[in-house]
Amino acid sequence: MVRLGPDRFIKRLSSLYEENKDQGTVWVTMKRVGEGKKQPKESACLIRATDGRKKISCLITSSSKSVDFEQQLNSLMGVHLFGAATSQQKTRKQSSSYKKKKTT
Amino acid sequence: MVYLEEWPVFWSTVQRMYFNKPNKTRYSVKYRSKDGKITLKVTDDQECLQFMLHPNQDLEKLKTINAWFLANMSTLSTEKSAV
Repeated sequence: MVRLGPDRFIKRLSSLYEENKDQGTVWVTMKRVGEGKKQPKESACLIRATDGRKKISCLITSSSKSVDFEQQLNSLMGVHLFGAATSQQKTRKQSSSYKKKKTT
Repeated sequence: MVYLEEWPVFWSTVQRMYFNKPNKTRYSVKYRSKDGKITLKVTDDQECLQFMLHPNQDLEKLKTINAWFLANMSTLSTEKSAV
């Protein structure tokens, strides 16, 4: 298990999805963990990702950081899981070419 | 292992489960690229809820649940946050 910083985690998760683009399964798991015995009230979000072979993980500690991370994670999942294009132009191009293929 | 059909039912049950056992509950997203299946799973080791996302329509649902779990799990207290 490799513990990464938020930015590197996003990059590695992106490549994990890319590697399993045609075949394979990717799991992303979130759980709440306590931050040591001295401060039981503090908690963090542990995020793990695996494709069954490689494992990566990341710890999100404060809610201020989690907002940025959440946006990055959501756009990443949008692209890889739903094929959401980053720009609207790209979506139009893709959808029109898809329609052409279907009709011919 | 229960697949729930209705999103509002799944969503409210998930929230109840998390607030009952915040330290036991975990959430995962499974993506199978071959057929584009996206499965959400939430469990506290006693109950297990699953929900299948529609590949084309349910991006907002995924975003909502991701944001909610991240925000709740990384806060300092276990108090309920506004939904």
